[in-house]
Amino acid sequence: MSQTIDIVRGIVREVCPPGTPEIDDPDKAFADYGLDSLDISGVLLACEERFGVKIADEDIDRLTTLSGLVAYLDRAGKP
Amino acid sequence: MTVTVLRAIASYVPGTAEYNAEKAERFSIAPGFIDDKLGIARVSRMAPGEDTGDLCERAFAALEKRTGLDRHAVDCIVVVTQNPHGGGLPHTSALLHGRLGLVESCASFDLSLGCSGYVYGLSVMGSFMRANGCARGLLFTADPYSKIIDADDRDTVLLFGDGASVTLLETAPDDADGWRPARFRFMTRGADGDALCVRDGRLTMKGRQVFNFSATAVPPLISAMLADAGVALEDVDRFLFHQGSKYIVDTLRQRMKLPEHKVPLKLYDQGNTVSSSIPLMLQDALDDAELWRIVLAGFGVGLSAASCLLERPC
Repeated sequence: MSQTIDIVRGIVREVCPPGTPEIDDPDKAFADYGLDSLDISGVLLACEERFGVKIADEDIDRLTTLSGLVAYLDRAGKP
Repeated sequence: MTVTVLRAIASYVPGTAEYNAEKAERFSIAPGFIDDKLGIARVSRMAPGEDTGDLCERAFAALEKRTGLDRHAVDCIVVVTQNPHGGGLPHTSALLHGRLGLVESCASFDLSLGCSGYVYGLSVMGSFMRANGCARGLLFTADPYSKIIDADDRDTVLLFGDGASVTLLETAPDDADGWRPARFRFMTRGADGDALCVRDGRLTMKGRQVFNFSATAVPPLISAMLADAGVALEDVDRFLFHQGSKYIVDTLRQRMKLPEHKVPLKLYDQGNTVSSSIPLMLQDALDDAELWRIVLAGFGVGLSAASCLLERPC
């Protein structure tokens, strides 16, 4: 979990526009940090590539926080 | 040995448009999203009564005015469209052939392709012209999505605009001046075709799926094409990506680590014009004396992608 969360934080920094705040509260919604639907698409694609997992369309609506995404990735595959 | 040379490009973008800022509140969209992510302030729309063939005719009028083209010397015309004029019969290129008064020996056919269609069209026309001894051809693009857009669908109504282009192609000796295709690469992922399709007469798009395809398929396609041609990425002067949205163009630029000045954007005033988006940019680039190599990449409906390396002799 701790390793995955660091990797995903790094992905958010890399993929999202400059000025996007650091996601310090894993339970706070991505949207509250200013991420829009396209930012989230970019983050999810980078996670799929980094972790070698496929994130199904029907799961997207539940992946609204860092903690939720990390738990999903830990369940679906290994870093 | 002969080559196919791109002599000139002209285009037509309707003056009427819908403004995305006016739709932002209705769709609960932050204003920054429209400028920073979509990169589209307005989407062009055909006037009531206008249709696909009319857009092509307007583009042709601009080409004729600029080049003084003798329309009796045109040997073949192709229209790239998936939203043909009227009901689709006769094919739009035949309708256009009649309207323009072209000679009866002129071949005319349509190509059913979307955002990759211009690149495919360059390859198909080049081969067709050389195989059949055609000296001069016209490659049209016109795919007015306003015919199939659902005005309540925020995923598509803010993106797609109407427009048309025409490219004058000539068969020439290989030492002739002018831009010519040096290499192509194509790919298709038909299994994911429902990501961008028409259902019950209306356009539907799974944006994430189209984005993932474009972001992951296009960079290796271009790399493979450049490797085939023996050209280094750094030696390409411009990368003209299909203008799906600002976000996808920015994503491709970042993934391929390309400098910003080599990857122009042209969608703010008209939106994503499908197969016309690349020629709308290329018409300016063709006259730029500083450019020697240009990569074109179209991607979308199919799912399909096509890339082309254009060069001109030093």
